[in-house]
Amino acid sequence: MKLMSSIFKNEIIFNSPKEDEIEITLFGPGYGESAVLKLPDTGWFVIDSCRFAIGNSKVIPSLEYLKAHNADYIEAIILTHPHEDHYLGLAEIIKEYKGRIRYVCRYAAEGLREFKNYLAQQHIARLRNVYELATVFKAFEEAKNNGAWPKHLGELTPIINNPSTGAQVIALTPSGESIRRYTENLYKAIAKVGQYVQPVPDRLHNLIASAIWISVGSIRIILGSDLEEGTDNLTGWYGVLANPNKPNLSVNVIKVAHHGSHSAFCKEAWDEHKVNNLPIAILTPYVKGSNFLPKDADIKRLNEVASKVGVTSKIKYSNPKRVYSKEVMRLSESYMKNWYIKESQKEFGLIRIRLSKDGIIRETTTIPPAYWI
Amino acid sequence: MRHTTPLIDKLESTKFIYNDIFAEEGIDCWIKDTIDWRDDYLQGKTNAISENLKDQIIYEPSKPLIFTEEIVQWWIGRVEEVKEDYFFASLRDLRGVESIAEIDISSVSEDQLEYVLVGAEFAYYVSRENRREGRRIVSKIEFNTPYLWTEKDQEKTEKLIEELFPEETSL
Repeated sequence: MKLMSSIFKNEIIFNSPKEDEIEITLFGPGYGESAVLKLPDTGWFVIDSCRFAIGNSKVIPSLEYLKAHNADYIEAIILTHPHEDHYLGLAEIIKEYKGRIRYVCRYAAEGLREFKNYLAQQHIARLRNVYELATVFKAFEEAKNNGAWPKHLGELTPIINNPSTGAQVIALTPSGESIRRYTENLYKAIAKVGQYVQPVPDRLHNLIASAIWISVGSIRIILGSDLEEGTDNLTGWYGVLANPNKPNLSVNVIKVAHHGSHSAFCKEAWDEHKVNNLPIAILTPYVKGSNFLPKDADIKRLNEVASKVGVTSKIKYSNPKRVYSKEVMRLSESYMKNWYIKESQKEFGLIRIRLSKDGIIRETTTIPPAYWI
Repeated sequence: MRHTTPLIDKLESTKFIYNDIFAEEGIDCWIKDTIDWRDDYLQGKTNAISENLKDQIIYEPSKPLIFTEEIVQWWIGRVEEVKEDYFFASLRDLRGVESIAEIDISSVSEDQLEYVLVGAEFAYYVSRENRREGRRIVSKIEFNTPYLWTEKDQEKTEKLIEELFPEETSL
C-alpha cells in the first residue's frame, strides 16, 4: 500500500536502514540537489533541497523520502548557500516538520543585510524572483519560533557532537575571509541611483558555500556543496586545508563539490580524501543554463581519485534539428554554435549508500536515471 | 516571383494604385507626368487612366508591394557568460523548449553591445521578410534595456525588504 501511495515505484526504497547503519541518500534530478542523512542513534538530516516536476505536480524528493521512512523528527536541516538549485522545496520540508526539527542551519549571515538589499534590487529590476528564497527565510524563522535552534555555519561550526554515539557533524566552511569578500562584493553590486542594476555572477555565492563533514565510528563523509577550489589559503578548499584545526579529511563517501566542475576540484584536498582508500564519489549534474556539468573531463578527473563515481541523473541534450525547421537551423547556425536542446527527465533517481560504523559498505542502491560510471 | 506588369493592369485595383504611387520605398512603374493625374485621381475626377497617359507608362519589373515580416521562430534568452567573441546563453521558446548556445557577438547590433552582460535578457528571433527585392530570412537580437536605478526605486527597497523579510532574522 505504501508503494502505491508513494512517488517511489521501487520497493527497495522503503527498506529502512538498520539501527547501527549510516545512510546517505543523494538526489539530483538535473537541476538542484539534496542529501538525506541518517546517523545511528542520532536521527535524520536534510542538507539542501531540490524540486522535480512530474506532470503538473512538483515533488520534493527528500521530503518524499523522509515520509516513505516514517521519519517523524529531523535533527538538522541545513541550507548550504543561497542558490536556487539548493533551496527549492526547503520551505515545504520545514513547514511539514514544524516543531519537529532540532537545528535549522545555514551559511553564516554577516552579509545578510547586503544580501537582502541586493535581492530587493534584483526583484524590483525584475532580474530575479526572490519570493521563493524569501519563503525559505520565513520558514527558518517559523522553525526557530517553534523550538528549532538556529545555527550560522562558518568554518568548523559544530552542528552535532554526540559523545555517547560518537556522531559528529561539522561545517568546514565558509571561512571568515570568504564571508568578508562575499559581503564586500555584494555591497559593490548594489546599484546606486543613476546606475544600471546588474546581477553578481552566480559563482559569487559559492564563496560562502558550507561544506559539511560527518563522522561516525570510522566512517567519514563529506558533502561538498558548491565549494570551489579557492583563490588562496583563506578561501575554498585551500582554506579548509590550511586551517590548523581541520578534521581528518580522508573519507569513505564524498558528495563532489559543485557538480564535479573543474573550478571545485582541489587536487590537494583529494590527496587527503583518498589517503586511506579511494572514496566513493557521487555528484549531481547541473543542466540549466549554458554551463552544464559534469563535462567528460570532470568525470575522467574524478575517476582517477575515486573508487567509483555515481551520478544522480543523466544529462540529456539533443540536436536542435529534431525540434526546429531547416530554415531556422540554416540561419541560426551562422550565429549560434554548440547549440543543444535540453531534454527533461521524466523521473528522478537517487543513489543511496549504507555503511556500518566500521566502514563496511552494506548496501548501494541506485534508482535510474542515476547511474555509476 | 518577379514579373513585368504594366501599370494599367494594376490600376484595376485601388490598393495597387495607392501602393504604387505612394509607397515609401519607390515604385516599380510610374507615369511621367504623375502629378496632374494623381491630383485628378484623388479628387475623384477620374477612376481610369486617360488615353493620353497610356503613352507615358514606363514598364518596370514589379516587386512585392508591401514590406511584411513573419516571425518564424523566437526565443527569450538570458546571457550566462560573456567571452571575447561570443556569449553563452540559455534560450526558451514559446513551447517551453529549453536550449543552450554560444551566440556570436557579431550578431548583436552595435548600439546594443553595451547590454551584453551576464544576466541580461534578450529576444532572439528569426523572421521571413517580404520586400520588393524578394524574400529573405533574417535573425535579430534585441536586448532588454538594463534597469536604471532611480530615487523612487530606492524608496521602494526598504518596503520590499520588510515585505519579503518581515522579521529581522538572527539566522
